[in-house]
Amino acid sequence: MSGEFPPKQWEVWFASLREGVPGEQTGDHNVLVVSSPLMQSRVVLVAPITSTAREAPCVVKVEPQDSGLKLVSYIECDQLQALSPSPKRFKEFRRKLSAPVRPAVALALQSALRGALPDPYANES
Amino acid sequence: MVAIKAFVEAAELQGGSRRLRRAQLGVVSSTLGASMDMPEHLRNVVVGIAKEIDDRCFRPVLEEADLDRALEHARASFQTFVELWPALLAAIAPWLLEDQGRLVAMTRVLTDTWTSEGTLEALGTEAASWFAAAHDARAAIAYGLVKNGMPVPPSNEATIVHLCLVADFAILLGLFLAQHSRPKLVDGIAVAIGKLAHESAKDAYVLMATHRFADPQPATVSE
Repeated sequence: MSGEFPPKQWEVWFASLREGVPGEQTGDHNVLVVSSPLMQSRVVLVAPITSTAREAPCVVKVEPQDSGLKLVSYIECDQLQALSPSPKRFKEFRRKLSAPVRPAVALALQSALRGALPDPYANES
Repeated sequence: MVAIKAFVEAAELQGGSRRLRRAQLGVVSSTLGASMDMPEHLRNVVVGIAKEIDDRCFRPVLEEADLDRALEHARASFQTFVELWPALLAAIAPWLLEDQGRLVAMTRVLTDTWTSEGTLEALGTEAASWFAAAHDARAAIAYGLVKNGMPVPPSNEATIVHLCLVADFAILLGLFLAQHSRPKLVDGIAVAIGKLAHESAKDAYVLMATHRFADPQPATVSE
């Protein structure tokens, strides 16, 4: 069932982000869980969600009906954070992100991590 | 912001067989120049039509003095591109589809094109980032289709083809702008075309790949 601990990929949660300095997302925010369930880690990776409009290839605009949030929002794939899957961090489950938005998030993650991911053509002769 | 709708409507006028549409989705426009191991007569066709596209579609955009007029010209040029691009694909489709390896080879792109010093200097970092993301999305479609056999959802096939046509036009125009940035590009043109490329390629990828990101169906228990 969705909303159980640990938080799972594509779930939107209201969470407490890490302390930071100006330019970093901090404080209580809605977040999208992006890490794989097979990551074998004690943390989950999240992308903060903000209502502040921003245009960049690593940012995905999402409508309320797709996120379960009240406002048009922006998923910031360049602000990934690793959070412990604890109720101290993840305070409230919102809903799962709609499937049609997920490919756009995948592209945004690729854009944010460009050059750090394997070249999909590398094994071709 | 360039209105993608006007471009997609123009693309809808394009017909073409299913075989040609498949070739179109599998070939990222900017990779054509890299595939020069094709027979000489085909290479001549590619070079000839590519020059025609440069001269009739892209050069007029470059020659406009302000952003609005340049974008207006881009929209008009796209109509010409819609006629020329399928002609090029029709010429090379039989050779391309004869061996899947050829399509795969053409789909393999130099992903560092957009992060090269020359491109960054010519287009600026912001525009280059839109083009790079557009190229990745477009290549994901081509590679998914050709190499991994990712199915094209029949209900969205026409829209995906139209969006890819817009993306291919915008990506090729971006490469042209990068190569012809001297003495100076019109302010904002590279970013505007980069965003057009990204929006169209991203929307096409979303339509093509949504089923891969859907939640797995609950397993059914047989009686």
